[in-house]
This record gives sequence, C-alpha cells and structure tokens, in this order.
Amino acid sequence: MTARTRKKSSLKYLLPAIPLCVFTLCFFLFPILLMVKYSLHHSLPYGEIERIFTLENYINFFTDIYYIKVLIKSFLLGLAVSVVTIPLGYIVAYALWQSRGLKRKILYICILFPLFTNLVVRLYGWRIILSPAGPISNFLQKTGLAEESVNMLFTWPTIVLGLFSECAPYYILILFSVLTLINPRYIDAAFDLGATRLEAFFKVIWPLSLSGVISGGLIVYIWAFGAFATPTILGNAKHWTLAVHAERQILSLRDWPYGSAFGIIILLFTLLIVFLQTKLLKRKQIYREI
Amino acid sequence: MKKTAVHLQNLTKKFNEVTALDNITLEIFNRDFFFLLGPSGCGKTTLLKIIGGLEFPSEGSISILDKDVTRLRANKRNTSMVFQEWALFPHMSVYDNIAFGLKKRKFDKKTITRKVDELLELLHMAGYQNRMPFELSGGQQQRVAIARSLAIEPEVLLLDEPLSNLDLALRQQMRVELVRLHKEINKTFVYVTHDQTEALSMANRIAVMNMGVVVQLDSPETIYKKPKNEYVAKFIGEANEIKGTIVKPNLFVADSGLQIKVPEQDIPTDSRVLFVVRPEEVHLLNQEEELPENHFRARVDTVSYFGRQLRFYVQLVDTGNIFFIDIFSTQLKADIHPNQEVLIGWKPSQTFCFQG
Repeated sequence: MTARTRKKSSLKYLLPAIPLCVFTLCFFLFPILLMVKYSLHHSLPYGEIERIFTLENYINFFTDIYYIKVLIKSFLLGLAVSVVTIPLGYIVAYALWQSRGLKRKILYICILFPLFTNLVVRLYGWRIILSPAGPISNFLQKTGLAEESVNMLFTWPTIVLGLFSECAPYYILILFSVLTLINPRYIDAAFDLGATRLEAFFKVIWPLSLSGVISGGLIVYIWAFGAFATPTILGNAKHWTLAVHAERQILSLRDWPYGSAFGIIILLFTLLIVFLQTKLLKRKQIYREI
Repeated sequence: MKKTAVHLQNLTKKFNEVTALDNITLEIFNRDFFFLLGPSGCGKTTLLKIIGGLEFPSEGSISILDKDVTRLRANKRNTSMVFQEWALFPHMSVYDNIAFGLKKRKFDKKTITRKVDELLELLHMAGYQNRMPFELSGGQQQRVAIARSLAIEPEVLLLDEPLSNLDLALRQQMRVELVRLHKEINKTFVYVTHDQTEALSMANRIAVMNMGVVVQLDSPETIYKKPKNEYVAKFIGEANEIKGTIVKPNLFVADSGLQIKVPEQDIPTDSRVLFVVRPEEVHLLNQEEELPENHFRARVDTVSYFGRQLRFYVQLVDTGNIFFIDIFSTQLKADIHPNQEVLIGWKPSQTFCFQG
C-alpha cells in the first residue's frame, strides 16, 4: 500500500466522527471560549459588561484572600472525599469482584440503585435522615447517647458524607472493571509462595489495580472539587465551593466577567489534576499490556 | 521401603451437593514423578489444590512427610504449585517473581540474587532477570513459573497442566526437560494432566481418575498393558471393543457370533463382557507364517495414512465386525488397497475382557 492510499483510507475512517466533532465544537468548545472572552472583560454595576481587555478579574481573584481560602477549601474537600471514598469504595469493589451469582447481583443493584435517583432528591433524603427531627437524632436520644436533638446538617463532615455517597458508585464501577482484568490465580500463587492474605493483597492485587484507583480517585476528586449541589443543600455559606461562588457571582450578583473567571479557574485546576494523573499513570501502565 | 511424601486418607471434597472427590486414599512416595490423569471434571485439579492447601477437604486427612497438614493453608505448607496459565505476577520482573517467595523467607539480598541466578541457570534462562513477563514467550514464562515455585525449595512440586498452553513442539521439548529437572533436583513432583501421552511418557506412577475416585494406580506400563477396567482401557490408548458373552473360561462369543480365544480370567461363564484389543496388537498376517490362535478373514474398508503409521479399517468377512489396525509403514511389505481381502489376527494374551 502506498503512503497516499493509506492516508486516504485513514481519513475515510474519520468521517463518522464528524457529527460528534461538530457538536463538541458548537456546544462545548465555543461556550468555553465565550466564557474565556467574558472573563477578560470589565463588569459595570447592574450587570452590564464593558468590552475591554483586562486581567482584573483574575488579579482580583488571586489577590483576594477570601477566594484563595475558598479555593483551598475546595481542594481540601476534594481531598477529604477522595481519602474517604478510595479505601471504602475499594472494599466494596473487591467484594463485588470476589462475589459470584446472586450475591454479586444484589451487590450490583445496591451500587447502581442510587444512580437511578435524582441527585437533588437524594440530597434532600440526607437532610431528612440527618435533621434534628430525623431518625438518627431520635435513635441517639432514645438510647440516651444524646441528651437533646442532634443536628448534623450544615457541617463539613456531612458534606463529605453526601459527596461520598454520590461519587462512590462511579469509583466502585471503574475500579471493578480494572479488578476484573486481574487473574484471581495471582492470589493463589502469592499464597502458595508463602504470602499472607494481606501480603498477597498489597504486593500483588493493589499494585495491579492501582490504575483503577487512580482513574476512579481522580473522578471522585474532580467531582468533589467542583461540587455544587451538595454544598448548597447540605452546607451553608462557609462551606461553599468555588463552583457555588461562580453561580452566585453570575446569577445573584450579576457579575458575569468575575463568575466566568471563576469557571475558567476551576477548569484550569481540573485540567492540571488530569495532567498530573496521566503522568502518574504512564509509569504504572506498562504491565497492563498483557 | 520407600518413604511417603504425600499421604491422603479417606479424602472427600464436596462443593455444596456436588461430590468432587469421593473417599480417596492415596500414597505418593518421595521423589515420585506422580501423575493424576483424568478427563476434565474428574477432580484431579481439586485434589492437587487440596495437596497444595488452596482448597480444604470436606472429610479425611492429608499429611506431607509424616506431618499432618490437613488444616494448614497454602502459605504454611512446603508445597508449591505451577499453575496452568503460570500466573506470573505481571507487574514484577523475572527476578522479582522468582524472589517473591524467597523474600518471604527472610534470606539476605545476596543469597536471593545467587539463588535466582542458579534457578535461571537450571532452567536455561540465565540473563533474563530484568525482563518483564509480557516480554517473554510462552515457553519462557513457563520456565520462570517453574523457577518461582522451585525457589522456595518445596518438598512437593505441584504442576497443574503446565504444558497445555504451549504448542506441540514446545510441549514435547518441555516434557523431556521436566523429566531431566525431576532427576536433577530429586524432589517429589505431582503432575495433573488430561493428556495420556504426557502421563505415559513422564510418570513413574499414574493415578487414573474418574468422577472423583482413583480408578487405577500403577506404573505407566501396567496401566497401558493391564488396565484394571473398561474405563481405563478406553481412556488410555485406543481400543477395538466388542460386546458379547463369556461361554467358556477362555472363549468369548460376540453378539455377532464371532468366537474369540481369550486368556482365562476370574469371570463366571455366561456373563456379559466387553472384549478389548488394542489396534497395534492386531496384525496383518501372511499365509506362510504360523498363524496365532485368533485369526480372521477381513476386507479392507479404508486406509488412513499418518506418516510413520497407517490405520486400516477392516470388516470381518464372516461376522461383519469392524476393527481398526495400526501398522508402522516400515513394516508393511506390500501396498494394501480398499476392498482387498486380508488375514488379521492377534495373540489371546494381548486382549482383555471386562465384566459390566
């Protein structure tokens, strides 16, 4: 085959991708570019936009200690949710991997079922469960563990819990798909060579599943970092993430340029995290070729 | 008196309601090259896993070198298994794979390096320390898997169909090498396979298994030449089979009326039996030679050419029974064509009758 015909045929295979490319261009890339443009304009009182080039929105953000704190808090929230989800979700994914038949089906349904319910509805469910008049508070009072009603809402751990319940299914499914690629015989082989259960796990299964932990963990981190609904419904103003502030800037304060800059900052940090992850994964991926 | 390496007593294994192993008592001697041979689903791999401690018996006991290990897990037993698909740890180099068990045993780094080098030398893989498993061919992965198991110096090496993933030429080469390895390291090998050629050519003792029981335990030659029952005769090698009745202690009459002289056996007269003769024991006869007691006129039906040997399907002229006969092509004096009439025959001593 000559170089020219090869080039032609490879172009032919790209044809079906054109509609998707056009769609992405129109409804994803173009709005983002529009936002970049807005973020470089000056805003006037009453929501008007002065179309001049300025970096003031970005300068204002990074010199405002309040928003720097919000940014750090968003990072910490992502970190906390990842730290909780990665080990706990691993246990569930591992159990799913090891289970067979009916047990696996039941486990599967338990993991998938929350995804069938609307996120906001689920969050209001948490509000009922965790409210001072809710079942947990009642139980604690009845058993005498608490003297008066307990309010667990609008606290940082509650937001972490809410985000954990949202992200865990995605993390578990990603990790599970990686675990299924691992030959379960490796555990037997490690046993056979004298390893204990824990050693078999940490020396063989854990390193082989690391790519799943990293990709799944990344989804969890990005999700929590950019969380919007959960901090709004389960937290109060001091728990708000950057995403919530972006929405406030645009919809409540009608400052489109500043809100757009928030959005772009979230996007840039997310891309940075993804970039770091691909760096991290490249080194670990080599044995997956088998 | 031979020392016992592995002793299984009244071993039973049930998976829910399915009995995988049924009351097995078995002695494997020290330095045996012992084979568990049977079709898939006969329980041979389960038995191997029980010896290795990867499964536990439902009933019965197992001891290795006179030490009861029935309740010991795999990591506490001095056995090691070479798995069917080798199960090399894909994220570890050849060196780390082989050193895995050694690190557990607290050897210093120098000793480990020396041992890994020695093992690779033994398996003709010197210099491969830093390769990753996916960079190796099937045969090389196989050798590394064996080295990894031998590294922990097991009293008993367990091999679970280790050659089934290799192509024929490599398999034949590895058979020879495994026999050499067994001689060199002088340990007990227990080898599971469904491949009778492997078992017959490598073993010094074979346990033929079927449906969770050991049907016959003998040397390869005895198993081939003196199968204990119909199952073994059919499973090992090929056989012409004819149904009929024993009318005298040394006379078998087939349902077709064919009369065959057989060696005297402890079978009551008038009982239903299956008569069996191996294809290579049936000969094409020459009128001038002295004829054996059993000889019949037959018509050649088809001839299949296998290179070094030929297989004839013939039909007896008088009774219509069909036989297949194997003959080395070098022993064939003249060409034989379909529809040609020939004389076939065999010695009674080379045949068996099984009641059932």
